[in-house]
Amino acid sequence: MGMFDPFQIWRETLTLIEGEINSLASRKMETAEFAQAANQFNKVSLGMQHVLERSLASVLRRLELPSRTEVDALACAVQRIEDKLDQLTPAPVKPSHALRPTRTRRPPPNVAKAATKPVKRTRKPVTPPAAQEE
Amino acid sequence: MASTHTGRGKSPTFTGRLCTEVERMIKRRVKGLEYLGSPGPAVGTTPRTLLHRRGTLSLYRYQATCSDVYRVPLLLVMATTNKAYIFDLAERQSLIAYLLGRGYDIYVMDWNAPTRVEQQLRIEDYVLDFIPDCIGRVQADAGVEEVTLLGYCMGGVLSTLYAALHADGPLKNLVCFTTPVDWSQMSWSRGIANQRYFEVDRLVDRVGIIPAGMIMNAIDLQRPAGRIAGQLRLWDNLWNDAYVRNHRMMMRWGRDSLPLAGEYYRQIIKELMWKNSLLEGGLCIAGQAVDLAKVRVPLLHIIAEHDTLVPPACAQPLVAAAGSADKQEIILPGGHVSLVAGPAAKKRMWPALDEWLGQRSM
Repeated sequence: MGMFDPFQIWRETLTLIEGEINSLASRKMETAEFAQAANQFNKVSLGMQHVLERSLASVLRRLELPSRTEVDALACAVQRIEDKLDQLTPAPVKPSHALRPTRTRRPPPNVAKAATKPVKRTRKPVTPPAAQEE
Repeated sequence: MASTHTGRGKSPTFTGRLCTEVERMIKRRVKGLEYLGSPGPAVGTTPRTLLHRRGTLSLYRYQATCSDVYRVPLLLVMATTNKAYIFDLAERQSLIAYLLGRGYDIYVMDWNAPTRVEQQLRIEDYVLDFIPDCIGRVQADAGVEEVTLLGYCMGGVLSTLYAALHADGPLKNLVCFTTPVDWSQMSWSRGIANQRYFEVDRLVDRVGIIPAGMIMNAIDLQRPAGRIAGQLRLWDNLWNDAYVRNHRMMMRWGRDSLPLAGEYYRQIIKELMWKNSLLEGGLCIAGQAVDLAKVRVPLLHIIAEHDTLVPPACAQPLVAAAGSADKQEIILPGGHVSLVAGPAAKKRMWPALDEWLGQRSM
């Protein structure tokens, strides 16, 4: 019989609660009500974001400062120029193949009997995604 | 006092166990301050060279560590939502370092955040432009015709599409990690991306580029207790340097998630998720119909048994649908990320991959 260990019990309880919450959430997430609510939330937050961005852009314009979108566009333009320059620059001379490894390697003869024993299963039923490490 | 230094569960008495916890508590205080004041561990440190960069695409070559490598080079295609350093997290936690040590010549297609001008990128651009471009560059650099493609998650989808549309070569093998094929099995298709409620056109037209945070929040929704439980476990394990290091690397990788080009996202939702056209047929890439039966190269699909993002039922139809004569599916314990980079990956997945790939890379 194992020794009473409150710390270990606490850790096991944490794993158990996490698994329960996650599996409950997974079930709820697949309901139409959740999908509807989540998308309603997305719609509202997108709308708010849009209004906020427009207001900020207006303020920045008055202050004669570039907005983040404009800075992003500028960065993109610089990146495009860099990419074009890379394409125009002649490719570096290919290093001699003498310096590169040879390509004659073969697997060791005992590889087929390697100690690795992967679990090979096909058409296995799906395990409930409870408390699993992601 | 020896008992206080033993690992968890080894202390013979309750007093010994208590001593261990007190010791850990003291260490937590000290190391907690270190945690707050120190930068995270370095990631992706294996030497590599940038061969090509074009907007969202970067192609890297890793420096071979063996004097004799397999003839066929290996091109890794990362999922488009994340950085490829998950393949090369740390010195003893690097799939790339492992494969280099086993004699593979490795190239990686990594992604940068798409810019505004790239918001129009579509699946076609990835499958018919970026991947063929990189394969051509790998062929030129390595000096060989055949290349093995290895795709992770959405990178696996893109690699599979490429393989299906280029049945005449130059692919030698196709390896997929946790690649979704039957999208109807993803909980997203019934939940947050439910066709009846999700207005993907409105979203894409409004934002252009789908923010990384939005994608990560949708992923977190599947495991809402995961973040807070992770923080509690971090506090509990603050005394343990290896745990803290691993936690910080994983958190950093999660934070470094990438936004997605809007048109690409729209296609994923409408074509793959709503129509399930990759499995059920009807998917056209630049006018070419995609038929998984046209994948004829040797195929290996490694699936994570406890994957909540791409459940096994979502990934398993790939091997069944592919037309390859030489095909294998391996289901290993682990989650979507731990399959590739978790502490157990080096004992389970990496040797299984090496065993399969070595024999087909000559």
